[in-house]
Order: sequence, then structure tokens, then C-alpha cells
Amino acid sequence: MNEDIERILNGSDADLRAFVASLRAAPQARVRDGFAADVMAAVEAEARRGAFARSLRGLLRPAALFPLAACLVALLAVASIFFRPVPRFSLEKLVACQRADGSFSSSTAAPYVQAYAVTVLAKDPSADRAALQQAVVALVREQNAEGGWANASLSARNVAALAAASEAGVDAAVRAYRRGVRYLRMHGIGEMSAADLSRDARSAAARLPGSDLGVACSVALAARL
Amino acid sequence: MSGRPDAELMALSARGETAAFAELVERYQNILLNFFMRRGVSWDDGQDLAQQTFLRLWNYRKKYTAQAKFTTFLFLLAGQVSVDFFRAEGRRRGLEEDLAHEAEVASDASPKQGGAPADSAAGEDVRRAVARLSPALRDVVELGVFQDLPYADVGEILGIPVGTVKSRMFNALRKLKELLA
Repeated sequence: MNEDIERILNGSDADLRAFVASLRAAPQARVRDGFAADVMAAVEAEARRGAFARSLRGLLRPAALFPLAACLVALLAVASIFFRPVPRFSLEKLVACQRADGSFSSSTAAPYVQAYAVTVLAKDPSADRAALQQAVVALVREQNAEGGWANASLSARNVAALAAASEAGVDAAVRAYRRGVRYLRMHGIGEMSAADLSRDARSAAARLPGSDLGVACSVALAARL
Repeated sequence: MSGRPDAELMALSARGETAAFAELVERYQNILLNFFMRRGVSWDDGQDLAQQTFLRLWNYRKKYTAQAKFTTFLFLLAGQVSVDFFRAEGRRRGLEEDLAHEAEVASDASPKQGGAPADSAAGEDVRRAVARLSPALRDVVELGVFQDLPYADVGEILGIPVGTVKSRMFNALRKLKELLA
């Protein structure tokens, strides 16, 4: 180190020391009035943003992430039941699904399709009358000697569909309906109304996959009911 | 002004007590303003930069440890804000390469034109003379003379050895004497 520099900076040079003092004594600029208040307003806003960010980070902690994800999945699962989009439907598409024997599906995965189809065709005045009559014939064909079908659940739905077809004036449905009602009473099964069938069809539409032709009809019918 | 030490106020600020931080703002607002103005920044810009420094201080308040001198921490942040400012303005390179041009900038940025309250000609002369120093010399004067920081702290802030601080101080004071003669 230069000895001269050391001597001066150690303060032995009185002249330089006085010069430094004069520099320090020079008047200082001052901030505008209200500067500190403005700074603190900005700091307060920053603090609020920080608190919000911390709460978000807290939610994204690994420990909190699993319950959050679980809640999200559960919500999506529930939402998928109630808000699942239902395919657009037209009577033409429904009739196109009908098979030559009047049935709409042979799939065991969708045993109630025939009941839904009959109900839709019966309740729509513009529906193809022949298609309705063939659908009723197919339904009645499966009715057993007691007036019921394979099980109580299917019987209740088919009887409700026959009720709708009877009201639409399909003669074949009237007699089958009476037999079906007797069957239900005999086995202590309550009658299903058209409204019950409608809810049931919508519920089925939300649950069933749409790949099978008969199931696709079921979904489409549910939109219609 | 409260007599509480800076470190205590920072500790309270780290716990979210904005009232403690407000005391620091009151205590250092003019010091920071003059810090920036001696770098050739106008009065208006100086206040913006001081505010930015305080905001940065707030955001970094939990990084501060009481073992470190508060002013060292504060001027490290102020230096970063200053560098960001000049870089953003595209002026930093010009400041280092062209002192004459810088003198004009400093003149333009004088408090009279920046809207600052009138202070004495002596204060303005000192600010202008300091602003005409090269950035390397100006920094040691700013921190060592005006902020009265120990050379060790100045060296820490500027990232240079203490010996370099002393030699730069010597050269800076000699240059300032010439400018203010």
C-alpha cells in the first residue's frame, strides 16, 4: 500500500479531513411530502399479494396436494354423473336403431332400452306409428305367462312403457299392460310412472357407454324423455 | 424518529410488522434519494428508485440476518436497483465511457429541473461533482464518505478488497477537490 495514501486516509492530513467534512455537511436533497406514505401503501399492497401467494403455495405443498387432488377427482366424478353431455337425438335416429323384429337392442348391458324406446315413440305424436307398434310387439313378445319379464326391475319399466303406449292408442299394449299390472301387484312391486322412467333413463344415459348400438339408443332416448 | 436499532426494526418487519418497516423508510428515505441523485439520477427518478429499493428491502426482509450491518444490506439492494435502472435506460455503458456526457446528464438531472425543493448551491455543486466521478470512484465516495460506512463494508458491497477501497477513495477525493476548487 502506498504510504502516502495510508497517511492521508488515516486522517493525518487535516486539510483532506476538513474537505471530507465539508462534503458531508453539504445540504441534502429531500423527498417530496407524502413519500413515505406512498412507499408504505406500496409495501402494504405487496404484503397482501405475498399473503395471497403464500396461501396458494400452501395449497400446493406436497402434503396438501394429495387431498386437493383427491377432492378434485371426486368433484369431477360427481360432475361427470350430473353434467355428462348427452348426444343429440332425433326420432329418425331412434327408428334407424330399430331392428327388423321391432326391438332396439339385444345387449344384456342395456335391458331397459326397449322400454325407453317405446315410451319415446308413444309420447311423440310425430313418431312413426308403425315403429311404435313394432316396438310394442317386441316388448310383449318377451312378456311371460304371469305378465312379467325376466326380473322385477325390468317388469316395472316395461309396464310403465306399455302404459304410455296404451295412452297413445296402441291396442296391443292395452292388454299387455293390464297383465303386467297384475304381475306387479302379485309380486308386491309398485308401478313406475312415466316420470320415474324418465329419470331412470337419464340416469342410465349418464352411466352407460355409447359404443353399443342399443346402448347408444338408450342414451339418445334418455335425452328425449 | 425511534431510537430502535435498524436490525431490530428489520426483525420486526420480517414478522410482517409494517409499522416497524415504516420507521426504516422514514429513517433512510432521504439518504437513498441522495444516494441515487449523486449517481446522476434526477430528483423524480431518485424517488422512484428509492421506492423500488424499499420494496425490494421488504421482499428480501427475511433474508436479512442481524449479523450483517443493515446499511450494507440496504446499499447492496440500492446498488442493484441502480444497476437495473441504468441498464434499462441503456445508459450504463455511456456513463462509464463518457464522463463528459455524464456531466451533462447530471446537469440535466439537477434538482432545479427535476422539481426538487430548492436547496443551497453548495449541495447541488457537491452532487454534480460526485456525479462526474467515474462509477468506481463515485461508489466508494458515496458509501465511505456520505454513508460513513467502514471500508470493510464498502468493500463487501462493491465486491472489492479493502486496499482497493482505500486507493479509490484517495483518487476520488483528489478528483473531487479539483472539481470543487
